[in-house]
Amino acid sequence: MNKIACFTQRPLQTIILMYLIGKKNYNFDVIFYSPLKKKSFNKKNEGAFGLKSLEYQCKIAGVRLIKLKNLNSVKVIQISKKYKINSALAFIADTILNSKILNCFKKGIYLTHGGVLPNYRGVDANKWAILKGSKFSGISLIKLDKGVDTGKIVFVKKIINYNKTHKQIEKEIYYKFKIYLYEKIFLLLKLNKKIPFKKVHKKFPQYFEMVNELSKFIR
Amino acid sequence: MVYKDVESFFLFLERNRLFIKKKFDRLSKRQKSRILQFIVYLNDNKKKDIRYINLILKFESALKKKFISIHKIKNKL
Repeated sequence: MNKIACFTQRPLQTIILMYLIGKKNYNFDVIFYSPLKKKSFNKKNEGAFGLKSLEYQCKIAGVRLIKLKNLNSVKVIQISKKYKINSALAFIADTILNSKILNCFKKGIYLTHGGVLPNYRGVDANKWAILKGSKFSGISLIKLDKGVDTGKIVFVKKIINYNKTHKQIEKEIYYKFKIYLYEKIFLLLKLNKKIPFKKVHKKFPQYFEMVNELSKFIR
Repeated sequence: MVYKDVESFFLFLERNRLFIKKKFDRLSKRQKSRILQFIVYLNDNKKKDIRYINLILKFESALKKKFISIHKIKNKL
């Protein structure tokens, strides 16, 4: 059976996922934790309580929790080699993993992107989708590669934008899909099943942080 | 001035976050004027992308200059 690690900057979401996969008698082999860096993310930070509860959960479940200042640390490579871990899931908000870490996991690192891929790459993808009058917003699960959201797409879930505010859309995506997508890919990796990658023929532009003047146009 | 590869210069400015005042101030006069020329070019260009408007607005707040009006943006949307 494959050994799977978890990179996290979102302790509470990790606990929820641990609960879901724990129901099926599985668990992560290692969890790498690093705090958020950007000040702008402070509002979204899950706080010190999040880390404490993750520590407690790991203690109960017998999972190794490794706290790091930076997820690109050499320690990650050493530990993954030591325990022969070949794939990972990532709850990353403001870190770009370097190629050494990416190459270290043979079966890849998977993470979700808040936006419909391949159309909306980059930051604030769903906001851009609403601003551009797109019918759908959504969430995608991809295998990480060197580029920005250019990895192979595994799952894409869409919801209709009609008559919904941006906050409602984000909430719906979070509660309906996000953690379940991670659960799905975890089980596929654990049971060594074939991962259904989607073919993409066209490269779409990358979006960046939206300025306040433009986000005023979004409900 | 006509820019052959608008997209790559746009990506360069966004990725290096040169619209932040501190970073912009560190640049040489030549680089600054090149960026300003590019912003004016983007502003005048008819085939405007909403991402380019976003970049212009970022530079507006950094340089405290007005390049584009909100009405124009509304019309564009």
